[in-house]
Amino acid sequence: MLLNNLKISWRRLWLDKTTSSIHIFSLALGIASCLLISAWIFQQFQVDSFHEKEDRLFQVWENQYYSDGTILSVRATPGPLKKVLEEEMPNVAKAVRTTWEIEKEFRKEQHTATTYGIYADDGFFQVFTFPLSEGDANTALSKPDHIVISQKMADQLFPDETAVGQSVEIINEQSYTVTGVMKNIPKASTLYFDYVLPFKKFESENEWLLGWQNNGPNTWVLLKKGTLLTDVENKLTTLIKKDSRQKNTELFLQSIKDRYLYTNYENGQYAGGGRIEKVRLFGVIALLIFLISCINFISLTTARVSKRAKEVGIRKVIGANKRALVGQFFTEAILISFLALLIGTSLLLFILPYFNTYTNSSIVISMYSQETWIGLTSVFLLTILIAGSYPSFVLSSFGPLTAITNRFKQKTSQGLLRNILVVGQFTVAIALIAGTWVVFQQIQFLQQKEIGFNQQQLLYIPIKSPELAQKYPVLKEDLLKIPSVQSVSACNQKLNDIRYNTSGITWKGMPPEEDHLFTTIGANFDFVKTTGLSLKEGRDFSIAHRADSMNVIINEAAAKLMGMDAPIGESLYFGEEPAQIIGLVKDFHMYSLKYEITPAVLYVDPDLSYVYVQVATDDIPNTLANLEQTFNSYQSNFPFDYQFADEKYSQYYQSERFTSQIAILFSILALLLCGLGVLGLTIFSLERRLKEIGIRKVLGASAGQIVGLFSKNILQMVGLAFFIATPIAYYFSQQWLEDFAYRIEITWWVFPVVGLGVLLFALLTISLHSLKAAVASPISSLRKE
Amino acid sequence: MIKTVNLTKVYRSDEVETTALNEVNIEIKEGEFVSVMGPSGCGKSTLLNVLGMIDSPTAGDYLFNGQEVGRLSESKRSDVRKHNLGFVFQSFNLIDELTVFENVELPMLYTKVPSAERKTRVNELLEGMNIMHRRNHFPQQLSGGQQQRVAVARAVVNKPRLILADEPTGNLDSSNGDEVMKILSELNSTGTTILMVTHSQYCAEFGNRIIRMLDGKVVVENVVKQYL
Repeated sequence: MLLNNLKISWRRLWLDKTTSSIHIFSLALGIASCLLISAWIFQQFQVDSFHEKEDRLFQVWENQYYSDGTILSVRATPGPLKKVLEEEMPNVAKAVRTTWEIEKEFRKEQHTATTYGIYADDGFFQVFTFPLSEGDANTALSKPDHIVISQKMADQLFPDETAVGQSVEIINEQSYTVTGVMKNIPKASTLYFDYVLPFKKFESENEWLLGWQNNGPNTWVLLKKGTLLTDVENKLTTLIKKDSRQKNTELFLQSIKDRYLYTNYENGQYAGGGRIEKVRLFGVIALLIFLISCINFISLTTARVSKRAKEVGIRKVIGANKRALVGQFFTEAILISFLALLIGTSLLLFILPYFNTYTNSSIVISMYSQETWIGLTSVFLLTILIAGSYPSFVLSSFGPLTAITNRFKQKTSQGLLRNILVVGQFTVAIALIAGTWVVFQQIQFLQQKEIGFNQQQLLYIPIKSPELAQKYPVLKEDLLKIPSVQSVSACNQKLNDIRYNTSGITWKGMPPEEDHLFTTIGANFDFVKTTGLSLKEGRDFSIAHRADSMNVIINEAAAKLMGMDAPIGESLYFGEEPAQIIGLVKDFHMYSLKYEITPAVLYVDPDLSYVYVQVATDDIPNTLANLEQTFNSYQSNFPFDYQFADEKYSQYYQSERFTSQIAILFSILALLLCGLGVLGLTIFSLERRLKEIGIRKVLGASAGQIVGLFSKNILQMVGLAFFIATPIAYYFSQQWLEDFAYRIEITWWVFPVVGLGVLLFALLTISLHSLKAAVASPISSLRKE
Repeated sequence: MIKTVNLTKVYRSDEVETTALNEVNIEIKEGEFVSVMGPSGCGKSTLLNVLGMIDSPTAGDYLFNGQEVGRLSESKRSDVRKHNLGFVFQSFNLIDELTVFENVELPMLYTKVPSAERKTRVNELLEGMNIMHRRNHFPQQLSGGQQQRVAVARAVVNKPRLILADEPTGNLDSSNGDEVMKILSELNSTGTTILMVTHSQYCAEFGNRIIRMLDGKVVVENVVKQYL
């Protein structure tokens, strides 16, 4: 029986190639997109899941409470916390601190390597699963001159020899003994580093780590087996406040399993966002695309009911019961789904490299992995279930006589259901396209918005050696000799990636119970000129004013916070140290436009990290070559490195661009699938109404009127879909936009334009096919009928 | 074999009620060859469909081999059908996607006849019907006469006790029609009961008895030749 079912299913597919192609290709597209997004989602959930002790491994977060009601959630913790956790928390098996990633230059004889790494406490390799291929994980970081390096780094520095036991020099620092070589860090890790140095070394060089008042390193705890998280968190609340360690703060724990996906904390609470939102969004979109393709299958199959009815009738008359017929139609669904799965998977493997390039992703699908096969099987079964069940039920439910005598009429409910499905398809397509348009407009807005300083031809050039920092005034003079260099300054961070802040600023008249968080920017002379910040009042830092090392420039938000209408000449205090305000700059964006502009204080900082160069030239390569030459004459040990400010700014919106690229892809796909669905339905409608077309033409109908006959229904359905899709698209677009402090207003005309576009696309699809029948000789239709 | 008591079939649409069978009482014995005649719309095909259990009566009783089958569920009727009845239609009703061999084999798949036996029985029948050489052809590749012979082969392959034929020669020329009628007569002579609806007096006379219908009622019954 199965063989017979398969045989007839195959022949049916082969005989009706156009419809079969629409069926299969439509499902294949749905399957390919579903698999693609499933692979991406799977990859997202895999991040950090390789740590063997992930169930007991937590990161310590700190909520900082400010007098204006703001609660800031940070991962930076006080240096002494680690020791206190181990001593006072019996449920903590081990606590370790790690620093942020720091770039260092390594040398071993003629081999060099420049890479990022961290400092970590000596329990690091027992808490995290970063296995060592050489060396002892228990003692690898036990002494201040130990270093563990990655296999990649070992290959670079010790190409033909064993690294463990050898020494390696960090340029401008000291030599370390390699005590371990760790396997390269998996891509699915939020911690990424090529070397690990002992934290005690970092601590010895940074005394600020010894006090409770400063936050810096990340602190991690490994809980003892069987520990209840709530028990630990309850004790943490009092721990930090004890002995006035830190007053207005509270600690809480985040599992390493949640570190990647659940990142959005607002006012001390997990605000339900972060990467998981994107995972959910794409998951829903992929499911919708998959459903659209299944809907195509269902509506095309049920539309063919009249063609299949006779066969069903014959089978019933000669003895087939309902179960046998359901089996037969399921076999067809299985065959089509299988072919669609084959094509969809091949399509996926073909487009994956292009997709990865287009979206800057690194999705890998291995046909040898168990997960891939589980995914393929699940999608296959889901396709059969969704696409196969309803048609099987409908087709097998006819009475034998009704079917065999061709007195079959489609039930109104089936026609209604098919209309609902088609409306559903178009609703998804319209909502997706309109939503994509909004995303696209917002990205355009982000890229074009004036951010308050001139980042077009502003270069950040890192200062890598302490010597260069000392020689900065001479370097500046040399740089200014380059004809295309307009202005030079320096800073301790990138102006559109400001990371430092302090709550230690006061001013006259500030209520003593208040504390406020200020962004602090360690700048240098000619900073306003070089960056193009807009000076509202006062002046720039200038070498001509020796006292400027004690002066500050503030932004409008700071002036507003301090209630200063005329701030020039007023003073504020860093602790006890007074600083005079010499300039007021207009507000400018220091981070992504997702965040509000914060009060900022600029001061002259001798601790320089970046030289800022404003260039005015079309000949960037030549300017860069000149800059490189000048820099190399001061720090020849380090490769010349630079970044344009607008490049850094652009990096903020990688995630949004990814969202937009995916949304564009899926919008096209949704539209294509809707087109395929409409095409299939038109073909069947034409076949069914062949005689009607002939009669109408004999009676004088024009080709346009015939085409109009077929277009009327789709016009109604797209119209309905438009009215359903518009509020949905508006709501979700608005939700997405709320992530941005600075955003566009959704323009009303986006929706009718999208609706009209989709309608024209549908009408074009119908017209192309129905026009053939409309212009054909009427007698041919009547004869065929 | 068949007995109906006041068998009635009424078709209802939104505004119209049509009585296709009006208290029909007939009896057909095992081995008979009964022809049903009458003008178009007199209810003869409806009678055949109800007796063939592909349609259900509105009222009255239908006893098949002494068992009331008129009010059985579709699945039970299907079970009775596949083991006892064979159908031959005017428009052949072969499945276009199956070959001649597969069309004839199909009823045996539903009665779970083993594969080897299916093959033997189909081949024997196709030989008997003189269409063996067309066994791998599809219905569209055959003449009307050949298609009807395939339909007859399919109707008898499960060795039914009753064959219901609805104008089996209606779409055939006279020589092909004759051939089909001969096959039906031969089947009847081997003990198969046949109930045939026809417009043709010539064809009707192949049977033992002719039932004439008008406006849903049996009006006359003629014995053509004595049933032995």
